[in-house]
Amino acid sequence: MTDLKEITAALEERAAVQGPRRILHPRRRLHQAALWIADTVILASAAATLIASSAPWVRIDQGSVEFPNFRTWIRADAAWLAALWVYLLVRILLGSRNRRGWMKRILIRGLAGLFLLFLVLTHLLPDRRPPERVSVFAEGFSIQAPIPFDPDHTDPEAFRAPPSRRHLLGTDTQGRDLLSRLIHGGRVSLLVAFCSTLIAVSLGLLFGAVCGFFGGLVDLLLMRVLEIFLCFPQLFLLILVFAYLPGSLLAVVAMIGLVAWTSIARLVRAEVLRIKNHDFVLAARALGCPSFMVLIRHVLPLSVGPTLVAASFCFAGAMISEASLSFLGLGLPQGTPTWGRILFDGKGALDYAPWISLFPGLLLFLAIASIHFVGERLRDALDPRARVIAPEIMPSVSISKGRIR
Amino acid sequence: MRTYLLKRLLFCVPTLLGITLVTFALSRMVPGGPLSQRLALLHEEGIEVGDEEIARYRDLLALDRPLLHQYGTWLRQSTTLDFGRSQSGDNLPVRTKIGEALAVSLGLQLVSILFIYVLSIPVGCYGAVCYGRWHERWVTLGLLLLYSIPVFVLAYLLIVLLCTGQVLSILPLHGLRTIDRQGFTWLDHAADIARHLVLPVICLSAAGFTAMTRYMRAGMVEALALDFVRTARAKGLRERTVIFKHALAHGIVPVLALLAGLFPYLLSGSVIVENIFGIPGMGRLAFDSVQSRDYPTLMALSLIIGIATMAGFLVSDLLQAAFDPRVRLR
Amino acid sequence: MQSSTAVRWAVLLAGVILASLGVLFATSIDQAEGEAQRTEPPPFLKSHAFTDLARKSLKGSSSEPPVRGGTLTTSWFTDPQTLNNITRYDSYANRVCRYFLFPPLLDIDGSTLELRPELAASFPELSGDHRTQTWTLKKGVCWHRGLADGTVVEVTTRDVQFCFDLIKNEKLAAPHLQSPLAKFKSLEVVDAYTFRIKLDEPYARAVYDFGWEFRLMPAHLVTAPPERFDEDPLSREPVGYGPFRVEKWDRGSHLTLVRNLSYPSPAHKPYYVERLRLLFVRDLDQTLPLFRRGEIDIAVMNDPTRYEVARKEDDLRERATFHEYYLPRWLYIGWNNDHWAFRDPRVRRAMTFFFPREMMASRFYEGHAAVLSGPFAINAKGYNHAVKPLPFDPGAGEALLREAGFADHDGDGWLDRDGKKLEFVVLEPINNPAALESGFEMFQKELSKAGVAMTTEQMAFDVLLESRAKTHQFAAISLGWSPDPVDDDLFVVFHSSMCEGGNNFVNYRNPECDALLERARVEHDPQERIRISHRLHEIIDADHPMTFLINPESLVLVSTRIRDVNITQLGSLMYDWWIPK
Repeated sequence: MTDLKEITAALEERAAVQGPRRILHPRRRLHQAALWIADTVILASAAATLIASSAPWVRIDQGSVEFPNFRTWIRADAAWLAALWVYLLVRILLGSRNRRGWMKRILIRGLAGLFLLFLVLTHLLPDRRPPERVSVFAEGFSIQAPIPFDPDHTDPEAFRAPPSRRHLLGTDTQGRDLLSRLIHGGRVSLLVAFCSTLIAVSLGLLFGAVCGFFGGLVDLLLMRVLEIFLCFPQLFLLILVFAYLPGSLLAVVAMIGLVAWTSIARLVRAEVLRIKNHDFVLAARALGCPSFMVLIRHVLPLSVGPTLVAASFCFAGAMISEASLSFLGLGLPQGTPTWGRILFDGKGALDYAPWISLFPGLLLFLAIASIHFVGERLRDALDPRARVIAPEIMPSVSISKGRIR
Repeated sequence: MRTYLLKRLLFCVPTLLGITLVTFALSRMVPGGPLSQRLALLHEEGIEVGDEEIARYRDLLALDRPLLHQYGTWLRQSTTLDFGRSQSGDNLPVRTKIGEALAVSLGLQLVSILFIYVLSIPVGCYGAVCYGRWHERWVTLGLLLLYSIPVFVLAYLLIVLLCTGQVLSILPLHGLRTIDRQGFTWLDHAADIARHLVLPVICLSAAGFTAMTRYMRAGMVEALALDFVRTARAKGLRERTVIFKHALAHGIVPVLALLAGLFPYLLSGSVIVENIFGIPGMGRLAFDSVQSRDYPTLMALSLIIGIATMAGFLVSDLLQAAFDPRVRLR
Repeated sequence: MQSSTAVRWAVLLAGVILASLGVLFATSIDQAEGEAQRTEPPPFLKSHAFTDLARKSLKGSSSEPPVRGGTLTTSWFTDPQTLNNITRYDSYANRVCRYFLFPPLLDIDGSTLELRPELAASFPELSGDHRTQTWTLKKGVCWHRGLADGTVVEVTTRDVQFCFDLIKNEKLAAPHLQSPLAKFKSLEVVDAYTFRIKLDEPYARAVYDFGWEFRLMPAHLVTAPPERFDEDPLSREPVGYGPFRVEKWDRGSHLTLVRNLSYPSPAHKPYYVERLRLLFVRDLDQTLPLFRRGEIDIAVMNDPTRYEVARKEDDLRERATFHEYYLPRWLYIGWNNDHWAFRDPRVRRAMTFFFPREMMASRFYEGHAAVLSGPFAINAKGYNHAVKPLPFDPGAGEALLREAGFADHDGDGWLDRDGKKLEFVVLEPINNPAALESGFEMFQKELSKAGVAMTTEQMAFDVLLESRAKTHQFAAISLGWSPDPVDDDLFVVFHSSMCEGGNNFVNYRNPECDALLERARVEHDPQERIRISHRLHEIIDADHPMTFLINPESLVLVSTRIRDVNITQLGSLMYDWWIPK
């Protein structure tokens, strides 16, 4: 039991059995808190137009009932809600035990139905927000959204106002409600991070798999390409591109993805090289299985674990990259409310309005810390070779002071 | 071993060529250029330039030659370390500019690497020895939180707390040295530089410190579980000797190998930290060259940073090969 | 596990629904009270001193006589690129060289904006046809460094001849200098201090151009050939003749100038300060913290709100005087007069009605900006104060658009005409000041309320200028113009011949305007020139090729350590500032 190899093997076995379940339904409070933060951010981002908008939910004016808020919905809102349902699916269902199967079935069918509904809605809704024609706070009775301010709604009463009942987190230098901006900004930050990670992982997986599996000349050439990207200083590349190209969402996502794929490619290649030498791969080949099939069905699934772990850290890294870009004044256009941009706008006001920079900084920190925390747990579950023994799984082993209790 | 080394060195060449080619292509592809920069500056001063003068500028900046010719000329000149003259308006030789910036960045990064190692080795040991205890878990959590703070958030937090006088005002805000240095003894000089370096070094080493601590801890845990440690304990040696004389030597090896991975950061500097604290290093030079479309400096910078990164990979690969014979056979 | 998570989600959703029962708000864009309509320019400078100590530091308040000595520190954004007097063209190099190292023949007096002889002993004599100018140099002006054996070298016509030949040399790449001086054809040396310069065709600004633009370098120390003139070591270690010389230039860090008392300074420019230190601070937000720590004596504030907050701080009131002044600059939105919608002047006027300029000036700029109605700085003599800026009136704007034929024909909520929707993109440079950005956002909201879709796009300034402004590939563009404080020439901006190759980005063509601009170029009588400018102002307001926005104020804090503080119309030139021991 004191042999490191045996312990690691036992852990791998346990991990294969318990695995992701522990990640999503943890016992430890800190882990739960990290997941809570992730949940809140995603929920807030998905429902941003619903909860942070100047358009009220219901307006009753001389007997006619209107729903102005829903009239301002656009395609992006429906897409976000669909994403939220997917997230709920993963979060609640994955890893749940088989008890109460009927509940699970209803949940799956209900969620799938709603998901389809929202997919349909994305085609029905307009692409751009309709103009704010009439002052929506006219006569009649309204039920406002919980944060009744648009992210770009300038409130002339409250400029650089500290947090108050009206503006829960205060307003920024242009009188815009900070909480609303942070919620809508979460959308952008999450979207950028997610899409960049997607690009990085796809490219990295493809590259690493081809490189590692085929070896020889292919490996040689592709590794040189990889080295070129690796050796290029990343921020340098980002600055070079964004100083002179208009910073659109697509450009930012593409560039961050392009600088982040190299670490994943290296990882996947190392994994594939390691797995390639196992017996079952040899057996599959001997049976006449074509290379691609071996790659896709046998080798890649085993490397998913470390790749997922790398992806989660890549996600955090993409958030930081986007925030750094906004901080340098590059990247997304000036009015876009991303957390990094709000921080940049607020850093000139640190002595008289510190909340403008404080809250996005805090949010960034919390989000990234939660992602790192969950990523580490993920790594513990999926890639146990990469870490050290955790007492909670093997309570009988305590290696402090070298004594075995 | 030698063939491995030669092979690796040989493969560096196409990669370096590739890096310079990518920089060249990118810098020419994005719109604008040093000429339009110059014209924009003149426009701001209210000076309008006619067409013949624009043609003369273009000729001076060698922008009208075919692209391959430009690239070829640059390659040829850089083999003799002549990187041309900066096109950002000050017309200094690129070598001089990079030399000055390199000295600053190198100094700063060396101090922060030293700082990282000096701090992470004891903390990593502590993490391994007291693994699983409640206080060690809090420290690990603290390290994770430190790792998660973006650099600029940390920098501004420290500035607001320590420099601006709203809470305290004990550290200087800007630059590397005090301007007025009349009558400074060498002790004053040292103290002055130390005071100016505190915040940049903290910001630069925060992330590296947490990563290095983790590696140190992992290495020490592995070392402590090895047989010879058990033997040493069975022999009756004191715990302190066991840890620091026997296990440490073993556990520190991967961490030293990681030094090679830090090598590229030695030369490339950090754009954000240098901008915030006003340090005229490589990161700021890179940022400025991009903003002023200074092609020669950009090319030279990417070449140098590329070389540094490649050297770092080479050294770490060599170290791995030295320790792990399987790598050599591949 | 599953149930507790579900419970948590239910609680979250319930909380959201409960929190939505909110209160009615009535918000509307507060139409800020417009400033009382002006009939004369606002005061150029407003200086505030809130405590006794601060009051002592303003000009004329100190009873003690000035003393020489002391160090004055200020912060600039970045280094001058070079201190080579011939090849310099960026604004910091211009400032250092023109005011401190190489004062020109004629200098602009900051307080009166009139030309005064500086290096020249007096104004030049003009021949009858104004084609020849005879200049006389002041005697006793010596270069900071003489010959190798220590002999002092005076500034003489030898240097003038050398520099004139250099400027006329085709191999020198200095178009910023060669362009303005192109009209001066030949130089004739009369004696060691007198020379004659000849023009082909006289024009009104000839004396100003030569006196202000002509630059000198030490003929006895220059080593580089003309084609590589900017590589001369004098670019890094300049040798000038002016009231200051360079003590130390630490690139990226600071530049220190030390007083040179052997220069015969004019009486109004005593320069009591012994040492001038320029700190290069990249982060503009750090100037105020540096000022608070006492590391700099002059802090230029880029954020009006921060300035207002600083004005109320007790500690700063004790240690600083606050100055607000209008430097000549006007910001505008240029409408492409060849665009299908903006061809019609009514549409352009309508756009101006939608922009809440008064509100932007009073709210976002905290009152530290003046709304403009024409292409002049607010304190310029040529500004016609009888032409009032259009008020913020969306109703009038909508009426004008209707008159121009725009209505919501297809019922999608947006205005259109002949099947084309009224939507356009305003191009802006990256990192516009936040206050201006806020103004644009209000503009966008007002426009969208009326049914006009406006979006902004940002790009790097040089790309904006080269590939969009000069090629007229835009619908609307947001730019600024810094007019010459003494004698601004709007020819390059509004003359129809300047559409190709000039600064007439908006394609404005008006024959009456053209004629006036041509007359202004040759007119010598200053009163007549003011009348021409006023008439130009009226025509441009009627045609409305651009929407003029504001002239922003510069906001500066000066330490109370300094006495006799006064800001001139060219900025804080520190002529007679002094620091008590």
